[in-house]
Amino acid sequence: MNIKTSHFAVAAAVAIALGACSSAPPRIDDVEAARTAVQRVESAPDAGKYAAAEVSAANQALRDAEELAAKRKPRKDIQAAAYIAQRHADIANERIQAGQAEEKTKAAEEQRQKVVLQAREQEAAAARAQAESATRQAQAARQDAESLRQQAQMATEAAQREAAELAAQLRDLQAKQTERGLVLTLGDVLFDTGKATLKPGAESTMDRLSAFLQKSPERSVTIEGHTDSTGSDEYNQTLSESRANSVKGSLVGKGIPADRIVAVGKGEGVPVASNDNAGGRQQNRRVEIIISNPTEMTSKN
Amino acid sequence: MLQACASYQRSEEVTEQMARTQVLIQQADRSGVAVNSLPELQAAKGKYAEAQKELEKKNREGDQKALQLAKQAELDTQFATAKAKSETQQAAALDAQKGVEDLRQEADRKPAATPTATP
Repeated sequence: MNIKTSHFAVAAAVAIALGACSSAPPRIDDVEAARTAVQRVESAPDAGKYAAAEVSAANQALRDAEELAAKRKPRKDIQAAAYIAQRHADIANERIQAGQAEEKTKAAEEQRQKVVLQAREQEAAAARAQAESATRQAQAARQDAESLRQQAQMATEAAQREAAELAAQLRDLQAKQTERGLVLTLGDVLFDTGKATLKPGAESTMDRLSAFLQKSPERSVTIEGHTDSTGSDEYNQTLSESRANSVKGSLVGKGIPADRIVAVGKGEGVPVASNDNAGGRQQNRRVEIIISNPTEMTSKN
Repeated sequence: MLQACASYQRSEEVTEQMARTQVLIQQADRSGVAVNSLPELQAAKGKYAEAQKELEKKNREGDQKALQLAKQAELDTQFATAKAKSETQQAAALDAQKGVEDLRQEADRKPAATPTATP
């Protein structure tokens, strides 16, 4: 019984001693460093994506090292296991970095293509804009041509209108087309008896005549004064000249250059009716205004 | 003691580990890893050579040391290879990013005046 008790006591003492020892395994720097490395790589982003196998191998080696330490195995064996854990962690770390770098390269390549595409799109847009601007220019040119054509047409129409107007004016003036040109006769009612001054009643006729001459600068004018046979030849000659000059003066006063106008007195020498009666004499007292035909339209009519 | 020597036989594990490490080192050499991670690969080669010396002792203890060294050399080689690849990839990433930046700047400088790039 005594012996048994002492056996038990020894066994208990040994158990306590062992327990005390196993409760505090020695700290080994290599294991601590490996643990830190393994934990860091394990928590790194993308660890599972690029280095799952390495991380699990590192963990396994770390557990081996810890177990060896707990069993108080030789220090060099523990260190060897820690080294393996450390290396697996190192390899895992490099694989993660390589994978991340590869992703960056891929992203950059996508970016590059995007930039190239953008540049091409800009180029295409510029070409489109150029084409549109060319189209607009062509349209503008067409419109210019059209508006020029319209202007020309308007000018033609204006010229035609003007020609028609001139014709109308001539009709108003009751001009007669003769071999000498257009002949307009101012009756003696426009002058006081024996005087050369134009009466105010002649004003509108003179206005229309000067307007016509201004629009027909290629025509020149001959003004002839005529009288009836009453009175001396000398007197009639002088009166007819004075009346012709009076008409010339009126036209010059309205802006017709004097060198376009010739005024002559014909006296009683060119009657258009008989001087035997009052009616004939009144017809003979007159001023004839002969408007030359323009040089282009030769006097055939 | 004599009995121990007589009964010594090298385990398959050692032979296989040595072969594996040797192949890995040769592969690393061929793939140009040495250029990028010379020290790590040199360390691996040194450990492999040591392991070979341990094997020459032709005893259990030498074999165990050789196994440990060859295992370390294997991991060192893998590390050297991984590091070399990682460095190459990172350099490529930087290149690609710089390329994009250059292209973008070029595109910004002359907006749509002339084609900037055609593959």
